[in-house]
Amino acid sequence: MTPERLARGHELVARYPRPQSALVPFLQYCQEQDGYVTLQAMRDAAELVGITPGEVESIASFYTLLFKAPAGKHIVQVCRTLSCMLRGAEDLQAYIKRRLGIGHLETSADGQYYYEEVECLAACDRAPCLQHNLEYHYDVTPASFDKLLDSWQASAPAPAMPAE
Amino acid sequence: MSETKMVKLLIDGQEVTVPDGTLVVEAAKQLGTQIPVYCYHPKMDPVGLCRICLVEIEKAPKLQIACSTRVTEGMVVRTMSPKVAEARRGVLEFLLLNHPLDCPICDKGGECDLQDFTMEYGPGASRLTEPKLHKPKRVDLGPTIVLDEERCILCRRCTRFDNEIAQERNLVVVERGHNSLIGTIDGGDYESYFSGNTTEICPVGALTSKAYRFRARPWDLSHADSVCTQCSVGCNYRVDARFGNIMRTFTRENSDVDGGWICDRGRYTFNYLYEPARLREPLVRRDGDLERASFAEAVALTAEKLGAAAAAGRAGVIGGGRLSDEEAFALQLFARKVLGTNNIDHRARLQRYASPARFGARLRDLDDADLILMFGAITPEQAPILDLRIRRAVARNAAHLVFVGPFKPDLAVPFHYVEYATGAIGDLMEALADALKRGAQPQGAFAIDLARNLNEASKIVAVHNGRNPVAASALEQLIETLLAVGKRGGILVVGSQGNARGAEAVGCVPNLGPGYAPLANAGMTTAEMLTAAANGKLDALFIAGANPALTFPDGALARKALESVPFLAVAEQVMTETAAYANVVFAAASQFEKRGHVTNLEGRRQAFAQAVEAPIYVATDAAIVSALASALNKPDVLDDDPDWLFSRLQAVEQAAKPAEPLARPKLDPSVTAHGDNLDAQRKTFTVVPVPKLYAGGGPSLHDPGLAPMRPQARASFHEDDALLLGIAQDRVVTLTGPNGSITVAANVGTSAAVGTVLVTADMPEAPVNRLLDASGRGRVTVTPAPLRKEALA
Ligand code: SF4
Ligand code: SF4
Ligand code: FES
Ligand code: FES
Repeated sequence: MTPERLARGHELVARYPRPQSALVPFLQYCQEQDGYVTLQAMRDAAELVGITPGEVESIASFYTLLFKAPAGKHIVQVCRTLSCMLRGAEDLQAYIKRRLGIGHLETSADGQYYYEEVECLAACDRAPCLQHNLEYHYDVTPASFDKLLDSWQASAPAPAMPAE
Repeated sequence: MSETKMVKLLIDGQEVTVPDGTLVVEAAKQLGTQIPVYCYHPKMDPVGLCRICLVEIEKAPKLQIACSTRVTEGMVVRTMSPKVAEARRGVLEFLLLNHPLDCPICDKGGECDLQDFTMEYGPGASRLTEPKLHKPKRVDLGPTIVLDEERCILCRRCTRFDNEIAQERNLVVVERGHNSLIGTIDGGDYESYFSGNTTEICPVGALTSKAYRFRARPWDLSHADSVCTQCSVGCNYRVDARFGNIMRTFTRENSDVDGGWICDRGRYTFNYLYEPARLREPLVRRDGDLERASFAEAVALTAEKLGAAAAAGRAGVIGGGRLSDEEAFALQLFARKVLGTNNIDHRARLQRYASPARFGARLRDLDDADLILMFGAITPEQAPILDLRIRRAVARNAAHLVFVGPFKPDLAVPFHYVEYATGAIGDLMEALADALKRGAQPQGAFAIDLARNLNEASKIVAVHNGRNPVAASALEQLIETLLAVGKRGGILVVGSQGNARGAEAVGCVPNLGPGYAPLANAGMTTAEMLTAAANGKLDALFIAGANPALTFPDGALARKALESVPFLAVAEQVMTETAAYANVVFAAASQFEKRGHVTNLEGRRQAFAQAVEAPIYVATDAAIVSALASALNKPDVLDDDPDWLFSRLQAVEQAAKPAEPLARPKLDPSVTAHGDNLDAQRKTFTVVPVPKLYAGGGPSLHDPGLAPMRPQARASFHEDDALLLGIAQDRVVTLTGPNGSITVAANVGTSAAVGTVLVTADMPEAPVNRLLDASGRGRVTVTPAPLRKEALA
């Protein structure tokens, strides 16, 4: 474990009555640094909080926001639960997939975009809902998605719209 | 202790009285009512996650789970009401939703709880019209298990076993919801000495044993109630055979011994019977080669040579620890009453005592001990199921575990490690006993610590390996002192062979007859017999179920003796390093092919039944020695009938009235009390043999079931020494002692103490006994093998 990571780990452990409580925050920290939760990060976490690597894997794989493989820089998660589906999520999903050129649980070849369909985001009153790098966007339509994509372009080039 | 409160309740109209706090499911069992369960297992904490056990309890607004609900006074439970039936149907419909229903090719078919409960309570058909969820069907989970994720009903018995019982926590649930899978970190191997138990407790056919996969259907199997003899714990198990061939072994709970579990060495060691290495007929050496011979020829030749040697007072017998009590009794009768010698000894390893002279403990005593002292005995490797009790006591009851020995072992639960050369333990214990008696402060930080622990504990169990007589008697003194101040405690001695304790008890030692009866004229110990043979002072040796060439500490002496003795007869199940020297090799029956009794490390004598027939030219050890007795004109001394032998044995033992303290087996003069002084210059290193569960020659070497788990011979160094020697992990090194050398790969870490090298014991490819003397001590120099060019590049 790098000294910085260890220091951060100790700091997190100190925040809670039980060391295990620091597990998820520590994994989140590692993910911020590495782009995803690496095998080494899981082993480090096990050592840090005093459980087995297997137990870390069990917990890490439970949380869909902890990635076990490199995911895109832009994480796009679209709700696929009832309210959103009734309000057009199905078409939106099809549109986004075509627009980004990737499918469910896939990352674009340039490593910029990751797409996933997720369960209820608890924003049913503003369906369909989309989450981009943990930020919510409401009442999304294909048109408003294009605008969002433009706004993300500052940091990443938007993929070209494939021909019909 | 306070009286347990009893409560009365009604289950399906029947009254039952059980201790307060009993689970409803257990209370129902008392009435013979089986409430279906999946996730619940009586040996593990209830988790209540499958819901199949729902029952109706009056006054409760909804159905309750019987596996987690505790009884209360006046409770009224209905386990068969229409509501319950409906709930079960619902739960089963969900469990079967994505289930592949491949019962016709599933190992579990015929003994599957999902199949059985569905037949009894389930819906006849599924209402699912969508495609089923598919998951991996042939996950290679490790050396012993293949997992079918589609069959898994996620009851988590397997992961809870690994967590609660084995305390290892490597097998876990990954992902979540209906995507959950059973797995390990990064898809690595699930490696555990106890893995096979998960295949048994899995209520469905998800976890299948590689050794048993597709080999039999449960209804085709015959069952024999047997006892494992792979180590001295003596776990009870059932041997299942199909058309006369053993297919698998299965737990047969004896809560006092095994608690319902067996280890993988015990579970999987039987397929060697069907390997080419298995001896199926006697062999006789002709013109230098061992060749097939008839039983009659082997007997005639052995009787002639052994008889002549005995007449001259120059014969000896080694063995007994692999035999049944009856046969070990027969073996010593054969030595004493047929050959007329007390030269008989079952000890072919470092172990000197298989029992404590006083204060013998029971395995159960570990359960509520609050201090467990391990002296040199590496219980996970030498007595795995005993180790499970230690794990539980430490993890669940906060028992304090102290390991005293020459290196730091790998234990599953936290422990306090005290580095002590084996020889010096005796001194330490004496000092402690002294300290406790007189209240004096013992010397040294550890001794003070331990004295404090001893003072605080109310029940102490000491576990040792019977190698160090001084430590053994010092421990007895220590327990005596503790008992005198009102504490409880006792001693367990881990046996060197499955029936070491039985062999000792029935008189396979040179100075004691059956029942520890001291004899006027002591014969020779194994070391003495081997020395005599090496010096041309013995004319014949008979060895039954022992392999001194590999296991006797002074391997050079053993090999010289076996080579020099004019006549050597060996009774064995497979070809061994020792049998290779023999003039006559008898093909001996395995424990599966005979019946009798064995005595476990706590002195419990247990009967085992015969599971299969032996191949036609294979004879039991009792049959071999009684044929030899007849050939030597003493047919009345012996019989090969286990019942005859057992009743004789019991009669002799009763007459002997063994009482504590038990008389002690004769020691070799070479045994000294004091440890090595380390070489301060570190030019030489003290060799410490380290037992490994799957090491060994004989059956375990040839068993295909154990092959994937077989360890590599290793030499482990302390990292400081490694630095000094210029050795990195995996570097090949040659260890050279005065009488021989071995070449092995190195481990570098902190388990070895500075100045010592740990060497895997009992590995035929690198026998550590090339480096040791008769008392198990050895000094070696270490030379790293030259690095190959590629490795340097
Ligand atoms: S593999 Fe078997 S024991 Fe383990 S969770 Fe699945 S069904 Fe239960
Ligand atoms: S602990 Fe010993 S007796 Fe028990 S199953 Fe394992 S080898 Fe056999
Ligand atoms: S259904 Fe989409 S946010 Fe709830
Ligand atoms: S057995 Fe009761 S919930 Fe599983």
